[in-house]
Amino acid sequence: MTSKEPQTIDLKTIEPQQLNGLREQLEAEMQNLSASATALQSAAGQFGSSGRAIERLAQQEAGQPMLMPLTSSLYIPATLDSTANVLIDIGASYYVERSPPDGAEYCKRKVNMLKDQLDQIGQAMRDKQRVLQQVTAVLQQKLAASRAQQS
Amino acid sequence: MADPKLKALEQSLQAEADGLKSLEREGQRAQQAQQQFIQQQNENQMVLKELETLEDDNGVYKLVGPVLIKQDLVEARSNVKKRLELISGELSRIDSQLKNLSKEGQRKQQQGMKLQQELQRLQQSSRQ
Repeated sequence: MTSKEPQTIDLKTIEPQQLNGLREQLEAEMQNLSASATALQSAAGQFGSSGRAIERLAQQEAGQPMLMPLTSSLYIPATLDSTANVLIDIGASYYVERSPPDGAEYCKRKVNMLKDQLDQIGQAMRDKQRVLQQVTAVLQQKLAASRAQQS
Repeated sequence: MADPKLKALEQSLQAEADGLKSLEREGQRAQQAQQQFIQQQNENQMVLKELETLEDDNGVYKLVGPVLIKQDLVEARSNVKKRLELISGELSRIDSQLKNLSKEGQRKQQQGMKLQQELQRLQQSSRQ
């Protein structure tokens, strides 16, 4: 979006119809942003829990007996073979082997990156909300004025 | 009202409007493709950055169907780089396509406006 000041000045000179269009556009953008924010939030949650899982795994020793989930309700006995490496999905169907500390670090980095982006989205949403309020207010003024003229 | 000139005008106005609509559809398709490529670009850039931080003894695997296949690190890097080049090529192609579309759209809109004014003028003069 362009800077806010010319917009504020322009608003009063725009036709009500166009204002309504602008309002709808802003509302759609807000919805997009909040959907992105939700997606980012859940991604951050997943990276966080992956990171914690790696940290817990690194504390275990090789040969440790465990039950491995085959489905969410079926487990089979197994032993931990090695905690030297974890396999990380870095996207675009590439996976890399890393040591557990590196893996946990990767997850933390991702969480921080996502948090930064969430902050940016939050800021953008606040800005949009403000513009939306202004547009709605001017639109209502215009509608009231035209109604007064007609009666 | 059955002025043939008026009718012809209305028809060409309709044609302009239809043309504008199909242009808009094309633009939307191009924008969707653009979004997709931008997303892929982001993903591949992240992958490349990650691959750059790796040492030679870190195993790299690529998911092919359901199995992970071991990859050479150097090869993986160059593959991702190649993919990024491909994507940025596609993006610049879409960019110029979108520019052309919006230029064409503006031209059509102006044409339509001109036709509409002409139409109004004719309607007014026929009423008088």
